[in-house]
Amino acid sequence: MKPKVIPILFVCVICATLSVGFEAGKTAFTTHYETALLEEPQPLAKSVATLPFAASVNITALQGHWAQVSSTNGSGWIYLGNLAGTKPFENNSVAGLQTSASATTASVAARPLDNVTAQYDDQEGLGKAADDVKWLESQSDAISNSIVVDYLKANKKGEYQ
Amino acid sequence: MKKFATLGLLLLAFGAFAQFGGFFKNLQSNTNTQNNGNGGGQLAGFFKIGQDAGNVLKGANGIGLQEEETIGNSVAVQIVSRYGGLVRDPVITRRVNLIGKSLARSCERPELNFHFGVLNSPTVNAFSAPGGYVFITRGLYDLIQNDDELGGVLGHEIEHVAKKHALKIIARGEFLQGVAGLTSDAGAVGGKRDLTQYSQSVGQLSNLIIEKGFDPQTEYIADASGSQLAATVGYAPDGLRQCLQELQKHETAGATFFPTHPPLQDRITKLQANETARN
Repeated sequence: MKPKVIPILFVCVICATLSVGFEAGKTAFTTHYETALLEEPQPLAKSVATLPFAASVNITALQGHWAQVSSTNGSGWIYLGNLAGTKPFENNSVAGLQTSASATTASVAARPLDNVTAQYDDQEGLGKAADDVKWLESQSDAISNSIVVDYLKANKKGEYQ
Repeated sequence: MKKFATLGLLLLAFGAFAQFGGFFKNLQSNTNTQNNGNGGGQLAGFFKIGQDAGNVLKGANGIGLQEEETIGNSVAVQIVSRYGGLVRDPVITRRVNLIGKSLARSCERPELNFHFGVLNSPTVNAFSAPGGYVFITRGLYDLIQNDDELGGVLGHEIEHVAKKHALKIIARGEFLQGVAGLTSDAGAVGGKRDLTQYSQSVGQLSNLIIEKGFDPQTEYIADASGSQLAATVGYAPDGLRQCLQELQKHETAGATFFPTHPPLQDRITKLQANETARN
């Protein structure tokens, strides 16, 4: 059994490695709950349509960090950072929490099971480390999505390259 | 007993691949109505484990987000505890979070709320935990030359989280019992749960992440996809390789860098091969 499993796993690993990039003629999927299909490969271009989470698109061309795609909602451009080569799994817990707008992420609403983590930290005598992690979360959460977007614009990163 | 154990394992595996939640419910219901003796009780227990396995393995592609964040939080606390605490420097923390979040919004799971921190340890290593917790040690942070290298290192760790490498280990069953039914209040007495199994599972998962690391192939995947992620966002596609090569210059016989990862030269060679293939 084991000798057969190893080659299969190896093939899976190779496939996963090779699927990292995007190619014209291949299918990709949106990773955000709302992804704008743009008229041009520019972040401020006019939106042709809005695609839902895990929508399938066919890549017709690549230009820099943008993909020209066709979908059932029309054709246009999507920043590569908003696409995945494999269909993302819609977690039930996330789906249950998600509303229509993407202004807030589902995970911001879904905090850890505080009573479990607090009891665990207490039981294991990890109070100091737990305080550190809380501090980190407060510092990190203070960096909102709009601050990140401003950072991307200022540094010409992401879709603002 | 052996027969029941075999049946339980078969059902567990069946739950994993078929995800027949309703089927399990019906079976469990039938079992409960026929539960006239101890054997039936044991069988019901196995059905319960099988059902939980189905739930968790539904999560193999998506363990509940709350469970993932809870496990991740506990593992993160373990990492911080074992690596000298956190560097509470707002400027450093802001820098790693700005770069990390810039990358994370383009990964396969942008819905996660990622947190990036620096551990107060002179060793050279980086870790991630489920739910989006990413850490690099102060030793590594100090050796990193620029944002491109930092982007490559963070991209690698983000990909471990996005590709659910740790969660898949949980889903394989090794840590199944500790997380199964985590969200259920069953068994909680006076608001407190019996976290014995959960603690053991978190301890095992933390040991794996902190002491052993993932298997080499998993690390190479994270190297390749992390570099791709960094390149997509606009950081140098060879940032991670540059960082590893810089570390190589400082590596001595007495100090192994990234001890929970494959040897530096192997990673560099594979990254160079990926870059050649891309070009």
